[in-house]
Amino acid sequence: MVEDSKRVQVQVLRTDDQWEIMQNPAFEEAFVKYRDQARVQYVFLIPSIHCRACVWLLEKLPSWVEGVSWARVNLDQGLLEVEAMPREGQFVDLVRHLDRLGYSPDLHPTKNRGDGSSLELRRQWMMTGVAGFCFGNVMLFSFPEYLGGEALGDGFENVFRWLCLIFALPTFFYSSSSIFRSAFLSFKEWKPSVDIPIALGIIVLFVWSCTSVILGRGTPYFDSLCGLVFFLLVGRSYQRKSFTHLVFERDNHRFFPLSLSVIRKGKREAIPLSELKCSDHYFLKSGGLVPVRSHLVKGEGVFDFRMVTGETEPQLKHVEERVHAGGIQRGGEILLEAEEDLDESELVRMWGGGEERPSRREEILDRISGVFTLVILSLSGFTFYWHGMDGEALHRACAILIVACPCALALSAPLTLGKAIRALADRGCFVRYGAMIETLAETDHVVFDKTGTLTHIDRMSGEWSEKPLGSSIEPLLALIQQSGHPVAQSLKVALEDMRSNTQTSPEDSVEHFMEHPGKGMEAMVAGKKVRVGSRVWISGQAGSGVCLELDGEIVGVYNPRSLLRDGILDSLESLKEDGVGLSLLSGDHNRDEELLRGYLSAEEMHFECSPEVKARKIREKVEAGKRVAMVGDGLNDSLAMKSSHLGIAVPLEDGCFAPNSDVIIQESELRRLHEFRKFCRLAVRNIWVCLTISLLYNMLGFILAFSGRISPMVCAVLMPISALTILIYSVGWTGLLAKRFFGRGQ
Amino acid sequence: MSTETIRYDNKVVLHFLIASTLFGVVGMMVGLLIAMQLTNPAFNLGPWLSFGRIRPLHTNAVIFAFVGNALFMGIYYSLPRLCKTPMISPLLSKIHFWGWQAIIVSAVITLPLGITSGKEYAELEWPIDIAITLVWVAFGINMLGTIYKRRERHMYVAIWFYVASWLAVAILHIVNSIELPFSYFHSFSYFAGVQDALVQWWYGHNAVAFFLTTPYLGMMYYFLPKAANRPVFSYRLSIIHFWALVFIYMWAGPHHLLYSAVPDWAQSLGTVFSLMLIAPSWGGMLNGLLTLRGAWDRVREDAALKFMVVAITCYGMATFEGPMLSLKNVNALAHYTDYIIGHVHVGGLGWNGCLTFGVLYWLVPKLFGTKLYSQKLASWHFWLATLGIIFYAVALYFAGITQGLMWSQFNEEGDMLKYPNFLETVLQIIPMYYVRALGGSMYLIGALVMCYNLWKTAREGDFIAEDEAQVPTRIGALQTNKGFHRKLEGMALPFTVFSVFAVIIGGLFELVPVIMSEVKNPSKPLVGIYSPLELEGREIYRKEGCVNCHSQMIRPFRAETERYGDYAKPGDYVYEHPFLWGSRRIGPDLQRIGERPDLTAIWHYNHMIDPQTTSPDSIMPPYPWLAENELDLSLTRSKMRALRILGVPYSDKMIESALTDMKKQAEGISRELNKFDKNIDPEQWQTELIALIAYLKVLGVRVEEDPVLSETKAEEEL
Amino acid sequence: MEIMIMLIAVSTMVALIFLVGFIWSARKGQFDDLVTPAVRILDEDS
Repeated sequence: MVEDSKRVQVQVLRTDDQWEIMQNPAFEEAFVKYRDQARVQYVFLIPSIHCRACVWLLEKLPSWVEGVSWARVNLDQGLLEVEAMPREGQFVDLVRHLDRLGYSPDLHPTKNRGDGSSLELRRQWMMTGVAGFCFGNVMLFSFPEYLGGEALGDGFENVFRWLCLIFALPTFFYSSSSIFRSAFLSFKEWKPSVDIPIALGIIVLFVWSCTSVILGRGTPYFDSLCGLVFFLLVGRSYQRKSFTHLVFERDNHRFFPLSLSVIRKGKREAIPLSELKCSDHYFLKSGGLVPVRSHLVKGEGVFDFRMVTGETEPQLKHVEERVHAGGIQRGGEILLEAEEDLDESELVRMWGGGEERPSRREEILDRISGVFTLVILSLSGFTFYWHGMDGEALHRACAILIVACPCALALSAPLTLGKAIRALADRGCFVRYGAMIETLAETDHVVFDKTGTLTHIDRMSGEWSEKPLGSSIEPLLALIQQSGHPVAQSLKVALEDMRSNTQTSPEDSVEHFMEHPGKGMEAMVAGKKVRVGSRVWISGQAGSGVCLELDGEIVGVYNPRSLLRDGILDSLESLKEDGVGLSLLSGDHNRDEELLRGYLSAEEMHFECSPEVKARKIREKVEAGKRVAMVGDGLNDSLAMKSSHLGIAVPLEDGCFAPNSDVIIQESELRRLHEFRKFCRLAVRNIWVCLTISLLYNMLGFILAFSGRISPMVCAVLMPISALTILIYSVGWTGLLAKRFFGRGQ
Repeated sequence: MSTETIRYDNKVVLHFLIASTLFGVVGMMVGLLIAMQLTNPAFNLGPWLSFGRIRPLHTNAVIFAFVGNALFMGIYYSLPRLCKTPMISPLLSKIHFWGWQAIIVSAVITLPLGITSGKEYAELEWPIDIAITLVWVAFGINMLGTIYKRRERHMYVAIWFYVASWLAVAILHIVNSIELPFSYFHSFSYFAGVQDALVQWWYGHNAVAFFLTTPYLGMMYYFLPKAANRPVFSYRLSIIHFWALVFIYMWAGPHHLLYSAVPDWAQSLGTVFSLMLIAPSWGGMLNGLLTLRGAWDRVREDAALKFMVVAITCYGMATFEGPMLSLKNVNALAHYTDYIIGHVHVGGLGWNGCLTFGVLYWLVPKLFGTKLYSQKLASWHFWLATLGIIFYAVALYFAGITQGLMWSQFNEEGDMLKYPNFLETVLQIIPMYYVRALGGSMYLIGALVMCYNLWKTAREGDFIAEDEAQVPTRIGALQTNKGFHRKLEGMALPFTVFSVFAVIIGGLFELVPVIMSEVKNPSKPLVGIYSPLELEGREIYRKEGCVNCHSQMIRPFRAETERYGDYAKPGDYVYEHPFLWGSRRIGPDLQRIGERPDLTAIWHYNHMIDPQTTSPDSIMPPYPWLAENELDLSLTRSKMRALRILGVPYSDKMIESALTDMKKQAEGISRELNKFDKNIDPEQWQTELIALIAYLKVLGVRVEEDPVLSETKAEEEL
Repeated sequence: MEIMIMLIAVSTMVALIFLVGFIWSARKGQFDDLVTPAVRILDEDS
C-alpha cells in the first residue's frame, strides 16, 4: 500500500546556478503540461510524497502561494499538478515554496511526466469497459434463445438476434482494434505472433454470426465473441499495470546536473545541460559529475570514477589532463573544457535503458502460433472436405476456426507473469518485464560484483594491526566522529569498543576540522594535531591500512574489511545446491578473497576487472552456452549487465536508477536471491500448465466441432470458461504459490 | 490567495435527519402493529387501521420516509463536501425537504382511507405520483447542478452511486406510474394483467436496487471511511463494481414472477441475472469490510462502526439469499410464504436500518460539535437491533418453510392434499408470528433508545449550522494539447456508440406505436369482463387492501391446482387494471374462488362481517363496515369509460345502463341473502359488501364466450 | 409479450446512458488516479 512506502521528506539544497537556470524559460517548459493566456499548468515529480497528510498539505497550496489556482496530488505516482497564473517568476516561486514545505520537486528534465501514459490508460479503460458492457448485454439477449427452447414466438427470436448484433458492433470495431492492429503489424512483417490466430478467430466469429442473423439461417455466436474479447482485454490490462514504474522510470539524466555554469562571451552564465557544446569552458563544483569527455583547464581535479570503473580510489588530475565522462569531482571548484557536444556522450550510450528482451518461451510461442495458424487452417479445410463440402461442412469448418481461438494460450503468460511480478515486488524484488521472470528462472550461472553487491558499501568491519593506547582514544574519537565515511564509522565502533565504560562522549574541543577525500581527515583536538587517513597520505610510504596519528606520531593502524551482507553466503550455498554456477568479477583489490573462499572457487574469482573485462568474461560464459545473470550495483556494472542475459541491480540508494538492469532487488532482500529464482521457476511451470490446459480446451473444441456437436451454447460455455479457468488458475494459483513459498508477505 | 471560503449547509441535513428518525419510529410502530394484527385480529382497529390498509403504510413509511429521508440526509451532507461546493440552491433544498414530507403526510392520510393504486411499493395515487415526480426533479436539479459546478475534478465513487440512483428511480417511477385517472384521487394502471405484473416487478425489484441499495452503497463509501478514518480498501474495486452493477442491474426483475404466467425464458433470464449480481454486490461488501482490516479493535469501541459492520454483513447475506431465492426450485417453495418477508427484513432492518443508525451515531455528534452522550446506550441499541433482526428473520424462515411444505404436501396415497384447509397452515405458524413481533419490538425499542441518546447528545452540544471550508476558486479542469488526428481517433468510439443509440431510438419510434396498440389487449381473454357491480366490488377489494394477504395467481403445481383450481394463464388477466396477483398468502389464493360452489353469497357475507363465524381462529380482520357503508355510485360510469380507453370492451349501452344493471344484480344477491334472514332491505341494495360479493362470485370464472359481450352483440344485431 | 420489448427498450436506453457516462468519465480522466481520491476525502476541512 502506498502508505507503507519508505519515502522520506527531503529538503534539497539547491545551488545558485540552479536557481539561475530555473529562470530560463526553456528550462521551465519541461515542466509545463499546458499553457495559454490565462493559465499555465505544471507537473512536478515530488519523491517525498507518500501519505495522506502530503495530499492534504500540498492541495492547500493555493492558500499559501500567490497566483496558484489549484493543486492536485497523484499519490500513486508521486506527482503534483499545479495551475497558476502565467507570470514571470511563478515557476521559481513555486519551487521555492515547495522546497520550504519539505516537498522538493525533482527538477531533472524527463520526457515522461505521465502525459502519454495517461492517454493510453484512458483508452484501455474505455476499450475494456465497452467490451464489458457489450458482453453483459449480449449475454442478456442471448439467453432467451437458450432458455426458451421452444419457439419464443412473436418474432422475439429475431429481435434478440438483431440486438445481439448491434451490441456486438462496438466490441468488434472498437474494443478489438488493438488486437487487430498488432496482428496486422506482425503479419506485415511476416513475424509469427499469437495475436494472428486470435484476430482470425474474432473475425470468423463476427462474420459468421452476422451472416446467420442477416440471412436468418444458422446460429450466431455473438456471446462467445464478446466474452472472448472482454476476457482478453482484462487479462492484458492486468499485466500492463505499471506499478513498478516508480522503481524503473528514473531517467538517465537524473545523474546529470541540472545546469552548468559556463563562460560565454567572457561572462559566467548558467545554461541547461543540454546546451553544452564542444569547446565550452564550464565550471564543476565539488560533487559535480563530468558530463562529457573534457580536459582540465584550471584547478585541482580529484575524480571518483566509481560509477564508470568501479574503482574506489579517487584519481588526481592536473591541468591539460583528459577526464572521461562519468567521473565525480571531489575537490573544489574546477574549470574544464568540453571536448565534444553533449548529444552523443559515452555515458548516454553506455546507459541505454533496459529494453524488453523476449524470453525463450515467448519466442517459442510466437513460432508455435505461426504453426498453429497453419494447422488450424488445414484442419478446417480438411473438415470441410471430409464432410462433403456442403453447407453443413462449412458450418463445421467455421466452428473449428472459432473454437481453435487460442485466447487462453495468449492469456496464460501475461496473467501468471503479472501476478508473479506483483508477488515479487511485495517482497522487494522488482522485475521490469514479465519475460524476465522466465529468464531468471532459466538462469544457470550468476556473476556477482563485490563492492556494494555482496558487501555493504556504507558499512565495514576491520581489525587492528596496531592498537592505539587508551590515552589516545578520546582525541581520536573526537576527530573521527566528525566524518560519515564508512571507514570512519567502522573505526568509531572499534574505538568505542576499546575504551572503558565510564567515559561517555569526549569533551575535548575540535577545531579546524578538514576532510580530504581520498586521503583522510585532520583537526586540532585540545590543542593537539590529530590525523587519520591512508598510509600514503600520513606517512608518505606505500602500503595499505589506515593510520591514526596523534601529534605527529602514528599510534595505531587499522585494516578495514568489507562487510558481507547478512545471509548472502547462505544464499550462495543454496544457489550452488540448485545447480547454479557462481563467479565473482570485482573492480576492487583482492583483499577480501578469504571471505568468499569455500563458496566460490578460486578460478571463478577475478579482481581488479575493468568494466570491459567484466563484460568480456561474461560474454565468454554466454558463448559457452550458459544463461547468465549479472548482479551488480547498477551504475558501474551496466556494461557487464548488457552482455549478460539478465541484469540484476542492487541499488546504492533508495529508489536509485539502474540502467540496463532488468531486475532490482532491495539490498536487504538480496540474500533471498535463490528463493526468488525458485519462485520464478515455479511460476514458469505454472505457465506451461496453463498452456497445456488451454491446448486441452482447444482439442476438446476441435473434437466437438469436427463431430458437429458444437452449438452456440457449447461455444459460449467453452470459451469464456476456458478463459476464466486460465484467469483464475494463473492469478490465483500463482498468488497462493507466493504465499506458501515466501510465507506471509514482507 | 486564490482560495475562497464556502459554507456547507447543515440545516437541511438536520431537517432530513430528524424527519428520518421520527418517521422511522412511526414506520416501525406501524410495523409492530401489523405484526400484532397477524397474531390476533383484535388489533385491527376499525377500517382505518385494518391490516389491508396500513400494511402499505408501513412499507411506504419505512422505505420512503425512513430510508428516503435518511438517504437525502446522507446526500445533502456528503455531496457538497465531495464536490467542495455548497448545494447550488438553498431554495430547491427547501422545496425538496418540505415537498417530500408533504408527500409522506399525504400517504399517512390517503392510505388508511383506502385510497390506493393496489400496486406494491407504488400504492400512492396519481396526484401524489405527480408530486413525487416534481420533488424528484427539484432534487435532481439541485444535485446535478452541484456536481456540474463542483470544484473537485474527480467524482468520488459515492457521487456516481447517487447519480445512478436518481436517474434510475426517475425512469422507474415514471414508467410504473403510467395510469389513467378517473377521479381526483383514483386511477387505473395503464397496463393490465401480465403486462402490469412485468412492469410492476421490473419497477419493484429495481426500486430495491436503486432506492434501497445504490444510494446506501454511496453512503457506505463515504461514511465508513470517515468513521473509521481510513480509506476504502480498494478504490479501484469500488469503481469497477459500480459500473458492473449499473451496466446489468436492470434485468433481475423477472425473478419475482417465477412460475407465473410470464414466459419461461423471461423467468429464467431473471434467475440468471440475479445470480450474476452476486459478484458486484459482494464486491461492495468485501470492499466495505476489508476497509476495517486491522482496525477491528476500534470497531468494538465505536457505535457507528459497529452498526456499519452489521449493516454490511446483512447486505452480503441478503444479496446472497436473493439470488438463491430466484432459483426456480427454491422459489417454488418460498414464494408467497413468510420466508420472503424474512429476506426483505434482513435487508431492510440489517442493511438499511443499521447503516442509517451507524451514520446517525457518527453524524449527530459531528453536527453538534460534541461526543456521543452514551456509548453504553449505543451498545444496548446495538444488541437490541442485532438480536431483534435475528429473532425476526429466524422466526419467519421457520414460518415460511413450514407454510411452503404444508401447502405442497400430499397424503400417503398421494391423491389428496394433506392440509386441505388453508387455515390449518396459518394456525401452525402463529407462534412464529409472536416471535417475529418480539424481534420487531426489540428493534423498535433499540431505535427509541437511540433517539434518546441522540437527543441528549444534541442537547449537550451546539448545533453547527454551517461548516466552513477553504477551497480553490477555480475547478481543476485539465487540458491536453491534442493533435488533429488524435481528435479524429477519439471520435471513432463516440461515433459508434451514438450510432447504436440512434438505431435503437429510431427503432423505438417505429416499434412503440405498434407495441402500444398490442399491449392493451394481447391475449385471448379467458374470462368475462366485469359487470359494473362486479367492477365496484373489485374496487372495494382494492380499497381494503385484500391483495396484501390474498394472492390471485395459481402456479402450475399439482398441489396448487388441487387446492385452488386450474392454474393461471395470461388470458385470465386481460381485464385486470391493476393486476392483483399479490405476493403473499397470509390467506388462501383467490384466483378462482368464483368457481367454488361451496362459497356462496351467504358464506361470503358471514365471512366478511366476521371471519370467525366461518373460519374459527382465523386471523383475518372483520369488515363489518362494508355492510353499512353505502356504495358510491357516482364514479361508476367514469370508471367504465376509463377502462374502455384502456381496452376493456364496454359498449355505450353497457355504460348507459350501468346503474340499472347494478341494481338488478345487487337485488338478486340481497334476495339470496335474505333467505338466511339477513333482513336486507331490497331497496337498500347499495352496500359495499354486496358489490364485493358480486366480484368474489365471478372471480376467475372461465367462460367460453363472454356472456355480457355476446348479449350486447346480440342486442346490437337486433 | 410485447411489453417485454418495451421494458427491454427502456432498460437498454438506461444502460446506454450509463455507458455514455462511463465513456465520458474515461475521457475526462476520471479513472487516471484511483488511489488519491480515497485518501482525499478523509482530510476535509470540516
